[in-house]
Amino acid sequence: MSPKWLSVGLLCLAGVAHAESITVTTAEDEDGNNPSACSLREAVNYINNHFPATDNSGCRVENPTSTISLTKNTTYRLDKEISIQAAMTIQLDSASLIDVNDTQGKAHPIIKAIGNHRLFKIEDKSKPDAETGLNSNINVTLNALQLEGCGTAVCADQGGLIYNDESLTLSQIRLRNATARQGGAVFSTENGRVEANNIEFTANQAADGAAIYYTVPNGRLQRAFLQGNTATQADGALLRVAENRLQIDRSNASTNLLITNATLVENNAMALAVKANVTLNNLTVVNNRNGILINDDLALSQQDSDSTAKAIVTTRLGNSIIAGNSGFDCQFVNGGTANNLVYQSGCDQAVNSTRIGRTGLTQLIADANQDGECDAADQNGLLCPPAQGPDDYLKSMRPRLLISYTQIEDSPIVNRGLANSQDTSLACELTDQRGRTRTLCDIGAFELIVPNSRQNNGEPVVQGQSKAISLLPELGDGDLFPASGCSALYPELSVPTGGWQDGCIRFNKQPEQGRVTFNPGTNQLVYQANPAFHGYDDIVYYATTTTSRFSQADNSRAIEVRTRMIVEPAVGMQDKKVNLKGGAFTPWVLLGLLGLTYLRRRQG
Amino acid sequence: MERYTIYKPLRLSLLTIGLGLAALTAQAATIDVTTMADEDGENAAACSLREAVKAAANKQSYGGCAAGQRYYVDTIQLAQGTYVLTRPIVIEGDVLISGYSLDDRSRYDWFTNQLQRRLMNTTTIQAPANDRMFDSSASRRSLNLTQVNLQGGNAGPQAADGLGGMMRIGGPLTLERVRVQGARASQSGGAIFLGGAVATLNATDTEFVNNSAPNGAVVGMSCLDDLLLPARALNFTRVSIHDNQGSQSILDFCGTPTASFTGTTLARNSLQSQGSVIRITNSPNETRVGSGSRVNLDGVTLTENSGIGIQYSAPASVKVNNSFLAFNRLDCQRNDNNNGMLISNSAINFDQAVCATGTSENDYLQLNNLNVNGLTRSQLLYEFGDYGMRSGATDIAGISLPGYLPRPNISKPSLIDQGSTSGNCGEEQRGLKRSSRYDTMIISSSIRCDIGAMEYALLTAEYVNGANISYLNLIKPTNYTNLNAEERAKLAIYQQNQINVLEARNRADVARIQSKNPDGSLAVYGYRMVLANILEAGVPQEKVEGSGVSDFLPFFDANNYDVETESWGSAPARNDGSPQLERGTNVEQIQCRWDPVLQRILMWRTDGAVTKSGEYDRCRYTIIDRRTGVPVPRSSNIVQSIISNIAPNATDDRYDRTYGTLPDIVMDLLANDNDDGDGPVGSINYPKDALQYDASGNVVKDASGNPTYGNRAPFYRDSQGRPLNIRIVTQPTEGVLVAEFTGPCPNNQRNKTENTCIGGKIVYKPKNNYSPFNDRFTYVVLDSDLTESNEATVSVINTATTTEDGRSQGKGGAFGWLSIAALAGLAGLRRWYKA
Repeated sequence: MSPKWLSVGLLCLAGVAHAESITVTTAEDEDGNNPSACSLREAVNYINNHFPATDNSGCRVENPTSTISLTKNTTYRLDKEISIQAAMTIQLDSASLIDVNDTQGKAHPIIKAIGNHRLFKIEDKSKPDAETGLNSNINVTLNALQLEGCGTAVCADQGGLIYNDESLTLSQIRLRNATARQGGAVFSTENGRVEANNIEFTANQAADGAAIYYTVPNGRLQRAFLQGNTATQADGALLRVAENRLQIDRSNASTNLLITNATLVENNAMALAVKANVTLNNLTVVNNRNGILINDDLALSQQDSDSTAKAIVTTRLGNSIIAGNSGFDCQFVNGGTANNLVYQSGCDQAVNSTRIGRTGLTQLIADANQDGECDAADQNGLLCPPAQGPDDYLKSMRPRLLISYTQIEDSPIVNRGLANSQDTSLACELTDQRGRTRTLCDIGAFELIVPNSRQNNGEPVVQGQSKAISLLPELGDGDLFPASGCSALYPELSVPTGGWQDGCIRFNKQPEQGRVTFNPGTNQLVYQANPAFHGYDDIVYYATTTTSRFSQADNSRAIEVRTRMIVEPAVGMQDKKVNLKGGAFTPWVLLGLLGLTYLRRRQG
Repeated sequence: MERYTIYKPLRLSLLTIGLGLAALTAQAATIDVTTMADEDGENAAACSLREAVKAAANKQSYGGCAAGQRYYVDTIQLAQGTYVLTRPIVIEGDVLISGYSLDDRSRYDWFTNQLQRRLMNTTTIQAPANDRMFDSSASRRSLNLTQVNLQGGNAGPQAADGLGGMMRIGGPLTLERVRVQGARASQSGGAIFLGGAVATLNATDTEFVNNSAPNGAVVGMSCLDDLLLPARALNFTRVSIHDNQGSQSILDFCGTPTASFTGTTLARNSLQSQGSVIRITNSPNETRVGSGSRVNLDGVTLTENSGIGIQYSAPASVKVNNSFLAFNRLDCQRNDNNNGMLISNSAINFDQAVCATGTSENDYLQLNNLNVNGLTRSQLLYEFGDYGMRSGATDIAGISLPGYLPRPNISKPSLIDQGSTSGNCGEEQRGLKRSSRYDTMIISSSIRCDIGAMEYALLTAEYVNGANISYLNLIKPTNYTNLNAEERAKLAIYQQNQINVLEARNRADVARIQSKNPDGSLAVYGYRMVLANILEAGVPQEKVEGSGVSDFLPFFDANNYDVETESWGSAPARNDGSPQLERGTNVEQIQCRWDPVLQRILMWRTDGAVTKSGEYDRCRYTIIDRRTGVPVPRSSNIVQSIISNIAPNATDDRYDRTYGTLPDIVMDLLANDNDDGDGPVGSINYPKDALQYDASGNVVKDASGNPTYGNRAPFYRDSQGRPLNIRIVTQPTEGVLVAEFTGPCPNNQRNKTENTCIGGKIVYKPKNNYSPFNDRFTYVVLDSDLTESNEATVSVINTATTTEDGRSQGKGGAFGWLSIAALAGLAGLRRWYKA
């Protein structure tokens, strides 16, 4: 049963009152013109107005919820910004949300600005509360959407896509191509809070805060990928926190901002400019105009008030790669602590950190020809260029274990994060940018994972032809180890006939109906099928990768993979899926039984 | 065509049998190794260990070995002797390798009190000269070894990685009653190296001696696999790790291990001064230990090692309980400033307790620790020795796990009874019982265990619950040979001897119970007698004679112990089920006697009655060590029994009836029935409480006019002497029963349908003399206590039928000779058709 139907079934079980989400039925931006269609704007207004029974927009439903449902593979065009004034959720329809075949989010609906305006202004005008003077924020959630701005023209002064004065939650959101003076994509006011998880910012632009401009530190940015955004101001930042909270907060409540497991790469901006009460952990900040600027003014003010008191650290940075930025990697203006960094300049006050050079073994990116593809395993480069894994929503930058390393300790990145904090230092996050568990953690947003059980894959191939299968999903985050190093790695093993292959491949079961080779540059298995065979051919082998080879136990130094090639005739139906079923009642058995029957009759 | 038709049904039924054969229950195969030589397929006439391992892994016969059973873990059975390997055996499938067992199932073990005396291992596997013995690294499959000595192994010259001198393990490793001796490795894991994420170790009753490696002379392991600190479990239960040599460590823990030691001795291992017996520590430039790593010691003696006892650092946590951790060069060391390890109920040197939780003597004392500062090891413990072994006249029995026995010490502090409360002490290294029911009964607070791996056994009598069982069961010889032909064939001669011994002993017991006086009365057995086994429950007395030798006196030797008994009257039990200590009522009505032949306390009532509801009849007994001849503090306890009526025993009857005639059949249904379960007439104290009647039904009186009493009748009679003691359960259908006496059953109850009982002369009157059918009915008989017997069947067999029922019962079962014959018949049939 597909998850889709499962979820439908579960909904049936749960539904008593049959509350309904409001489904947007037109991609056009109409407002009352067509009573038989519900546009996004009409749906938002229907909720803003608290579901009037007289609503004629076409959005009215029996038992409405504050959820607006959009359809996959659809671009919703907005002629002007939409004002959100009530709590609501705008998201991909719930069945598609859990579609396991689209973990990359390629089919997510797009909301696109047609003119020079932002998409959403989130501001509840009914506040502040007259009696208490306090604001009670409304909760607005955007889920599984792509937001497209107006391009390089200024879409709005503050917040090229979203202006937020409330509690905003963003989950699986791509924010692209928007421009503003402050907050190219998102501007958050001193009242606003932004909780963001699984977020991409691409090609946004602002004088300052090219991606997000936080007036105060309030919220979380977890699992994020930011690339190709531009801050036009000379000291403009990609993520800007403008003020420290205590100095302006009327309620005197302390808020903070957490930015973790984010990759900030190739932005023409200072990556981060933050003040007090900000935690920065497991970041990969490379090849931007500048790195991270910390001005923990709160620590300073505390110090000022009592010159004997020690500065109270409120902003911490840890377990991050900050390198290759044109100007500085770190700049500590006031206070702030840092630990377990990999950097090139300016982060010297960070403890347990490694300052790396720019060439040779500490060359940052493994992409000599700048084709965006990660270079072969035997080339230098600590990180692969950004790439999107088959199950990942975001691109990420995979750390590499170089061939020249003789022990895992030679890597400045892998297993160099702080696993258990015993003082004020920051310990690693529990998961990485992809959501994988960290134990002995790696520095940066990416945790290398080595599979420790047998991996299975396979594909159909036409008789007599060859087929290449990428082994990357099975090899975890490693590359096939070059053949030249195999003898040194396995001194106990005799060299196979014909010499070692890349990956130091050891066959547990050789192919019987074809030939197999391995391509280290592309991490592919290439299968050449025999011309006359029809059926499946299992190949079981141990492949050593650049990551698995460091296991101390010999039985963990390679990954066991079973590749099942389904060899088929050139014509006829092709089953694209690997048949993993055990054998059962086949036509051959029936034929055999028929034969027996015949025999019996003849004898009788 | 005609012939075929005739035989078709037969053929079909044979086909069915054939299908049945295919469905035979599968079970793990036992592969017998028949040669000591290290063959690998070259000789099909004999099965070597190496070939057997392959046959078990591949589930195909190989090199003279039978095939393993698919989906099961097969047992490879070795013989007595030494198997010398020429190169390592690579484990490619789950396997159990079992040494040849001499265990004597006809005798009690000294320590476990179980009827299986453990004897020395007789099988040895010798590793290749310059290589290791077993390698399960690549396959990660499980390896189980039981009752075998493993000798040698060297990870150096040929096993170039220097890891795991005897075994390089990638999957679960289980050792049971194994000696691991004389292996070495140039790097880590002198005996065993655990590599990868699924390698685990379970060692029980196992000795590690004279193994060496720089790191982990006994066990080493991989620290970092798949870029992680692998989690793995290690359990050491009743293990002795002694006289190994490692410069850095004996047990080198890393990754994320959870290790437990219980009833284990770690002693006399030699190390560099900074080396440690148990090492679980991060080094300055290497993360070796993950958070969640744990080492627990319960009932461990860790002493006289030349290095550090336990060396650890965060994030590992170490707990020590009921253990002796003293007299090492340094007992423990922690390599960071985090919380110390929790040490409780243990013997430690307070001056060296820097690694323990707490800072002051008071802290240590609060956790019931004993300070050994100022004492010597020999004041507290006897010399290192094999206290689990004992050489007898014909064999060496016990369990070879050397260690230290606590020394009883009257004037100085002693380890005896100073540890945890019973139940929290860990195992005893030799398998001795550590908890006692004695304590809660006799004294208010619990008796504590001895500190360390061994318990100095003090003679302790436990209370026993008894009950009388049927005399008929007591005199029925036990069948010890309930084995099929295949199992019997597998039995070695010595095992047959054991069966013979068991049977002989059983016969002696039966003879003893049936033994008679010259006048024909029973000499030993009393009416409704309880035979209480007090020895299986108790603990015998230990006494050390000479250096490192325990003179441990088994209970099960009448030469060692006397048992005195006395009636302790009747009383209810206490709420927890234990007997009350005070003497109860009706003392004179209970008889107690120790029988040295049966080795049981014999207990019976003199009045032939049953135990009053809610009470127990009790005997107090005292075990006396014959060497001293005086009782010791814990040697008295109570047997409390419920003596109840045993139901009478009815046997089936058969009467024949001639077809065509109509004679009545007079039946004496009770002729073959009895009430001997309570004890036959002639038992000691057989009750004489039955009024005697003359032929006309009057009570017989003696000269002075008093009624006379005789032996209690087996079956019920009413006050007029009428035997209304038979209740017909199912009536006959072809005839009717006419009885001399008829009346309400004496055991009728209110609110239930009234039953009618019959007795006296019973006549079966057939209804129809030409009925060709057999008839049957069933009955139960009531004894004097109104307890009903089993239901017996009376068959009335009509001569019109030759037998009552000629059909045999459908047997389950398997491949018999008949089926073979039938198959052969089928083949013949087939040939016949062809012809």
